Amino acid sequence: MEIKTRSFPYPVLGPNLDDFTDGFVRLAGASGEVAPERYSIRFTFELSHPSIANLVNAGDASPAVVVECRQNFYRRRHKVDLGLNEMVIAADELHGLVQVTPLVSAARDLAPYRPDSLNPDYDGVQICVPRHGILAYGPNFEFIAEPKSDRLRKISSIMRVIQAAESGKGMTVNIGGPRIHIEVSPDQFRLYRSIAASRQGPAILSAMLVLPALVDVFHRVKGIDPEELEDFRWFQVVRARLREVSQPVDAPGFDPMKAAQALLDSPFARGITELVERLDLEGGN
Amino acid sequence: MLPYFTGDFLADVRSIATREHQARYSQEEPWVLSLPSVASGIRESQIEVIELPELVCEPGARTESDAANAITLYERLQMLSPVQASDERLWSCLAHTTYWRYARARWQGGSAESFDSVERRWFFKGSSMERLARNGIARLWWGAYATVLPDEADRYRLTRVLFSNTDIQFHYMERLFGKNRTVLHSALDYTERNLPRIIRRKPVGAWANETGKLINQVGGVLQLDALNASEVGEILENYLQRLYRQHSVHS
Repeated sequence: MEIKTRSFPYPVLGPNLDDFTDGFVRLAGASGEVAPERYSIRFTFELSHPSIANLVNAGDASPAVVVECRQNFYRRRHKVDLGLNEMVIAADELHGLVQVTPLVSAARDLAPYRPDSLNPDYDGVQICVPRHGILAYGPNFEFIAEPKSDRLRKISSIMRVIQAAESGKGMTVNIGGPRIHIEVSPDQFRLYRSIAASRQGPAILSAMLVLPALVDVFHRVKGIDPEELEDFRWFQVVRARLREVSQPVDAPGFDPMKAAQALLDSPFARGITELVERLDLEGGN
Repeated sequence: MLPYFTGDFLADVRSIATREHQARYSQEEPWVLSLPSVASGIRESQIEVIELPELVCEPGARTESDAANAITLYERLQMLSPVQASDERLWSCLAHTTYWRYARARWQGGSAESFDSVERRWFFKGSSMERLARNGIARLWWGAYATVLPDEADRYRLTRVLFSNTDIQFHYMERLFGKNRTVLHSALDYTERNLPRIIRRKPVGAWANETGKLINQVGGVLQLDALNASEVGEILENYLQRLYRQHSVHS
């Protein structure tokens, strides 16, 4: 987020502004780390200005960061606390240059507004700041959001859910072809199709369908000579992705459950979060 | 499965388009399909799509079907994530293959006299978010994505407002505040609800231009992302009332 310094009709604490003689806002020790399915942004929100900090403590001002992706339409304000913060954003949301802008804005009309360390030019001037007026901001923290894998070729690319001929409520996993096939009954398949096309579907299906299928596949792979699987496309992709998440399939201590979770990036956590959000939206508890 | 260009193939297509845009983009058939490297240059993304929908563009009514096309396309491709939908390989492939005829009709392939217009509509031009709002196919998806109301009975009410006028698209969607759902939705909602009052004072394009600038100015002082829908509505209502007051002073 770019803040134009000439816009403010009242004193603002910010870099390269001389409205104040002392104080700053900044994100200290900021980092943006990518896991396969999410970005973790960590920082310490530092506000070095006693009277603005007092406004925050009294609930009259709100510290926040605006996270903006310059190359797509992602822009969100996240309320934060003074001090250490961590936020998690899905890897599917961010692409390219991401700017994290720290700021403090008025939570109500502030009139009169008379903070410490004002430039003497403001002596005797009546100052009012409207609700949501920016009181202070700091330099951007920037990072490049670069997904670890090609997002057009997801893990689901080597796995397909197909309709079995028979009815029933179970599922079977077939690894004898170029793709892993998860076979479900016609009724279940119809239900699957109705949720798979939604944006919320993948996180939930990842936990309830893909995770157990992958665990099953990895248990079977453990007992097979890798050379026997070399010709299967799904095995080539899975082996490469497992190396990326430091769970090589040929390592002596290969743990199917751990490997599947690493590959799917905490599928239970993502699935349960998605479900809770959906239930909340629909008026659940 | 949804097709996409490989990175190398996209670079080849762009290179040919740069040199030969006038000849290539006046062809009736998708010219990329006749390139020798096409077999290895187009991949299946493994994003499962039952069938890509037809996009319609009637001669002489090029903008009228934008909203319907946006809704149809988004409905079928709503599983795309924002990162997938920010990928030039995908949209450039669709514009040059599946939607070649649509893109030519909508953007008058014959107007390919400058590579600039070809680049904007068939590729991504530049590196900012505008490239998504200008690519001939991506703009439909992103317009619907930014305006869909998942919890309303008429999910695409605001999509239709957005695509009802090219000035609304430009001044609301391509300004930075267009990234903020609350602000964008509130501005579109206010425009829809007050259209009869607005057009008594301003053509809707001029309204979009002026209120777009106004919201930008407000965002220079206030933390725009903290505003709620009624606060955005209040800004626009005050502006409209001012237009009415000016009119009564002048008349």
